[in-house]
Amino acid sequence: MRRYPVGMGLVLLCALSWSASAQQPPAGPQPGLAWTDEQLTKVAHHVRAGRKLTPKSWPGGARVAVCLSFDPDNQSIALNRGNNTPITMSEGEYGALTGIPRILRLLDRYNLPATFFIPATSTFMHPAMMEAIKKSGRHEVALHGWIHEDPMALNDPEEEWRLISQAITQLEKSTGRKPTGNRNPSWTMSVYTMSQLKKADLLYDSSLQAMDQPHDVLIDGQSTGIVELPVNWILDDAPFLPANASLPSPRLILKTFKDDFDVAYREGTLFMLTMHPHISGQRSRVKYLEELIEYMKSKPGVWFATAEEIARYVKTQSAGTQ
Amino acid sequence: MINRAGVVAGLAATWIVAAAAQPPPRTPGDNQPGRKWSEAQLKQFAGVVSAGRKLTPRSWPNGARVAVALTFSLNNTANDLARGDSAVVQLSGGEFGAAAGLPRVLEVLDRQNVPATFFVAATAAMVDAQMLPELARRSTIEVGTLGWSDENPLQINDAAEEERLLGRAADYLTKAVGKKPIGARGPSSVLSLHTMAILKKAGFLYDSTMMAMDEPYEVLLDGRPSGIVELPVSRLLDDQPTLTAPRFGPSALPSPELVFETFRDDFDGAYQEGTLYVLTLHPHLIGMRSRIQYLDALITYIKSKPNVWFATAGEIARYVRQQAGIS
Repeated sequence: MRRYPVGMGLVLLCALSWSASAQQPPAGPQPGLAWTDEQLTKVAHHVRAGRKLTPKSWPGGARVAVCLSFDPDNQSIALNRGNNTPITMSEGEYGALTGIPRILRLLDRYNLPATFFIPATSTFMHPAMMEAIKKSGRHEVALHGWIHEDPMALNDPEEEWRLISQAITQLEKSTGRKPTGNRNPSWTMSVYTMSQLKKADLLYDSSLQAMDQPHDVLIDGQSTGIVELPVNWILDDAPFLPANASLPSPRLILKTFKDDFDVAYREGTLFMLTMHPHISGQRSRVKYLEELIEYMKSKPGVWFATAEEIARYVKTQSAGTQ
Repeated sequence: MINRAGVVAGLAATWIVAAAAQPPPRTPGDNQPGRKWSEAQLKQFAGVVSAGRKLTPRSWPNGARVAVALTFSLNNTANDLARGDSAVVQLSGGEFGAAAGLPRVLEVLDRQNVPATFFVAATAAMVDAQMLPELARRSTIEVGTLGWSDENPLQINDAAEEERLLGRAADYLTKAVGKKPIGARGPSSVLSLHTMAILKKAGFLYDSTMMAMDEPYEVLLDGRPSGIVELPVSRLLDDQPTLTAPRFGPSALPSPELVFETFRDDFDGAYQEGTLYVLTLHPHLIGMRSRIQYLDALITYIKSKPNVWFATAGEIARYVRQQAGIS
C-alpha cells in the first residue's frame, strides 16, 4: 500500500524473507498478498461494523431518519498544509462568509436541524460563523479534527491524541458544550483513531462506510458502544459538485441523492447526507438542496434530526438488547 | 508628480509588501505544518489578503436589482509562451481564440448590445495584433490586465519581478488601447502574497480573481481596508474547468447545455439576492461553434428579466466605490 513506499527489489527481497520467517509484513505495493489468514483477519477486523442499530421505529413512528450534515472545512485544509495564498484563502472564506449564511437561511426557512462537523481552528478563525450556527439553537456542532489534519499520514498516536484533545477543548470553549460526535477529516483514520474516540468517551462517529444504517463499532472484535452513523462518498457533494469534480451538474447529482433517499425510506433506516458550505452553499447548488429538502418533506414519516439526536435514540432503543 | 512624501510612502508600501508577504515557517519533511501554528499565527497567515466589508449597494443604477459583468480572460497562447512551450499544435489551439473565438464572441456582444470586460495578457495581444484594436474601438468594452503573459505569480515568487511584469503589461495595454487599465485579473487566475499590494501601489481600482463571496467586497491587506474592490469570480462560473478540451484540462462536464444550466441557475440566485453576477469565459473555449449559441441564449435569458444592469467590471467597481465612500 501507499504507506510502505519502497523499491520493487526490496519488495521481492522482503516478500521472500517474510514468507520464510512470517514475522514482518513485506513493504511494497501489494504486501497483503503474502499475509497469512490470521494476519488478513487481524488487519481487516481491527475496526469493523458490529450489530445493526436501526430501531424498530424512529421517534413519533417515523420510518426514516434524515441527517443533514455540513463540514465547514473553510481554510483549515490549506492552512494545515502551509498554504496561505490569497485565492486558496478566499475559497476557504467563501464557506464561512457566504456558504454558511446561505445554508442557515435555508435551514431556517424549513425549520430544520443540522449537524456541523467543524475543524476546531475554524471556530476562532471565523467567530461570526459560529455565532450564526449557534443562533437558532437547533444545530449541533461536532468534531472534525483540529485543523482538518490527516491522522493516517501523521501515524503518531501521541500527536493525534494531542490534536483530538485540544479540538474537544476548543469546540467546548466555542459552543459551551462538549462535543459528543466525530467525523474524521477526509474520512481518513489512523489505526489509532477509533480507540482514541473511545478514550474521549464520544457517543458516535460518522466516518465509516460499512453499511447505510447505524451500527455498533467493534475494535479487535470487542464492542465499543460507539454508534456509527455511516457516510458514503456518493452521498457527499465534494466528489461531484466542485467545478472540476467528476459530475458538476447539481441536477444530476440531486437525482442520485433522491434515489438514495427513496431506498432509505423504503428500508426504514437512515439517510446521512454530507455537504460542504463552500460547495452546496453556492447559488447554483443551494437551489437543488432546497429541492431535495422539499422532496423529503413531502413524504410522511420523515424524522429530521441532528446526528447526536439520532445516535442517542438508537443507543436508548438498543440498550439491554445486547 | 513625485514629492518627498510620495517617495517615503512608496518605500513604506514596498516594505509593507515585503513584510506582509513572508510565507509561513515550515519544517522540512512535514507536510502538515499548520497543525502546530498558534491561533495568532493562523490568523496572521490567513490574513495577509482577506475579505473585508461587503460592497453591494442598496440599489444598483436606475434601481436595477442585479449587476451583470460578462468577463473574458483573453489568454490564448500566452501561458504556453510564458512556459516556453513552442508545441505547434498546442499553440494553434490558443490561436483559435484570436482567429475564430473572439470574432464570434464580439458578434454576439454586438448583436445583443451588451458591455463586456476583457482581461488581456499583453503577449496574447502582441502575437495577434488585430485583437486589441477590435476591442478598443468599442466603447462598451473595457480592457483590464491578465499579467504580462498569463504567468503564474506563485511560481515567480518575487515581488519585484511581479511588479515589473505588471507594470510592463499595464504600459502595453495603455499604449494599445489609449486608456490606462483600472482592473486586474490575476494571471493564471492566481495571486501571490504580493500581488494585491502591488495592485494597490500601481493604483488599480479593482481586482477580479478571488472567491470569498459572490458579491463585491473590499480587500483587506493584513487586516486593514485597502480600498481595492474585489469583484469575485467563481470556478463554477468559468468555462475553463468544465469546457477545456480533455487533452489539456479537467474537462469535467463537456456538455455546454449542462454547464450553462449552472450559469443560468447561478444568475437566478444573484437576481433573487440582488447582488452581482460575474461570468468568466475564454474566447478560445466559448468561441467554439457548439458553445457560442449557449452564451447567446444566456444573454437573451438575462435580458428577459426586468432591472438588470449589464456593465463593465470597471463601471461596477466605480459605482460600488462611490456608494461606499471609498476615494
